[in-house]
Amino acid sequence: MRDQAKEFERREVQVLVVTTDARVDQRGAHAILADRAATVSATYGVAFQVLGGASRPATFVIDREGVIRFAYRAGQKPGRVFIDDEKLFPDAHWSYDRPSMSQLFKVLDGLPGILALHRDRTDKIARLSQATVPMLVAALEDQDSYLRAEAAKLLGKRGPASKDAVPALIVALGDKVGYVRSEVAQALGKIGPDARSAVPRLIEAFNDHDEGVRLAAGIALRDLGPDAKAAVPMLFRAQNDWNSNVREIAQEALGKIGPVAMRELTEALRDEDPHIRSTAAAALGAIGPPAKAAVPALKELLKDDYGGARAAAIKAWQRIDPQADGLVPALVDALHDQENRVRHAAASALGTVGAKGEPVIAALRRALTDSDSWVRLGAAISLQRLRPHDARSLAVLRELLNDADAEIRAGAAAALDHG
Amino acid sequence: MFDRQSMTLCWLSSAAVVALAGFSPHAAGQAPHSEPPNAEDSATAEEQTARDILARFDQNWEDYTNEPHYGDPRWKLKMETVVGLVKAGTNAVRLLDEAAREGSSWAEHTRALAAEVLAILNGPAPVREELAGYDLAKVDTAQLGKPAPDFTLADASGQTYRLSQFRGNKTVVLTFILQDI
Repeated sequence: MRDQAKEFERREVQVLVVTTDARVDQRGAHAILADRAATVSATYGVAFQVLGGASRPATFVIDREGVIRFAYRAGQKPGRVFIDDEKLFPDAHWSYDRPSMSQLFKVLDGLPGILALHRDRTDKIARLSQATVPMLVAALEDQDSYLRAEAAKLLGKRGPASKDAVPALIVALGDKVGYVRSEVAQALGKIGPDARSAVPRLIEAFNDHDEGVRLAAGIALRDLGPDAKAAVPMLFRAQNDWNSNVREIAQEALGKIGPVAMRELTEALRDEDPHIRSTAAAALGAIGPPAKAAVPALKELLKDDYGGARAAAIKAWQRIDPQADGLVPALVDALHDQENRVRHAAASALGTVGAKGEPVIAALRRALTDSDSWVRLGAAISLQRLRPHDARSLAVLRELLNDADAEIRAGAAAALDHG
Repeated sequence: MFDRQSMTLCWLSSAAVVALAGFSPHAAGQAPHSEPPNAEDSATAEEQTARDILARFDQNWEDYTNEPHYGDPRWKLKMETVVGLVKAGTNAVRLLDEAAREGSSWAEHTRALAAEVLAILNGPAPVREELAGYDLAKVDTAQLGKPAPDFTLADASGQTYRLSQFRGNKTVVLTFILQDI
């Protein structure tokens, strides 16, 4: 969806999504507008035409002069039924029929103004690829947002060689177009330590209402690593971002910044927000052995009320100090945890910490009969590592090839291949 | 994808049920008890107009089914009925109250519509005012090659978008959806 949003944005198209649904939500990339009285739906000839009284799905393209250049109402062509990016779904309900994205872009590119824009762009882009850094800096102020984004991208590609562009890029982080801000943020990350003066503005960009910009700012902060230390509190707060990509990139960034933020990460293990506690553990785990000072606090986290935090503590401890006294008994103990994600973390970790004694093998064998297939998979893989060709774990892996969960099936297949 | 389709349709029908169950004719402060004693016998001209609108719907409407109905114009009748009755406002409440009642002599689809209109009359003012002020001549006027009819709608945060604000500046893709994208 984001790529599509970019395609619309670079054609300078405003997408307006209209629904009579009372539960209008603002999570998408486009403006979602509520037509509760269905009057706009009536004017556009789509009101009350779906079972239950909703508006019939439809798409209109309105050019810059305000004239309708394309109109398609679901089910308009009998027998067509549901085309979604060239795929035909003959059994789908007619009300899902809509033009494909490629069809829509073809219509848009056929509009007079947009075509002229494209021709002009092709020439300018060709020139930009040969441009010097000062020329690219000048292009950051071009009227055409697509060219501004392209200039930022090219500056990023040149990495540290673009260091003189940093002040201009910092200004361009305030561009009015979202995808330009995204490209600018990523370029700053690619320039590296010379772009450290951009960190305060990148932290602001990490709060952008556009999720694409948040993501790009997260990538830049990750790329800047230790120089982005000031972003640590903000990266923790991002654990409540609804976009999972933003949460993941924030975790990665914390891991990269980690070595200079040990105190903050260790303190965050006691944060009142369980997601922040788990994230701090994961970031400490990403640091590895240099984070040894955090192990006592991680041990405490094994008793956390929140299962996600207990699982994260197990994984982190295993990565930081796999030979630690007390780790193996703690993992064996965690195989009895009430939450499957904790049991899975423990079963998986036991295969990598190097303890091959009989009590570990016995505990893993018991875990092969766990009610949860993730736990059985983790235990079987660990047993294969510790006792290659162990018959019982091989049997469990073969059984998991028929699991209902595709990820489990793939995991079991991969483990059998390696064995 | 197909699961979501059936979920959508289920949700839509259950929303209709909620609209029926949640409606309260007395919430509008138009309880029949406040009428003069002989009001039942002396229907005003406005009430008669509302009754005619509802009777036309009663005779001509058929609920949409899950089957294709390409180009079927019945939806215009529903829009005319809803707008006509909302414009009648308080003059239609007694009639709608009667029509929506369990065991009323009106057809099932008319009872449902009467409940829907009562819910609009008792509901948020912006929706009621939008319908009461709607010019029925605008119905189905969006045509290929013609200027797009203007409108103003708001998003969840309350920010308003007026179609004509983009004129001379941006191309607009206007899309009507059942639920999410």
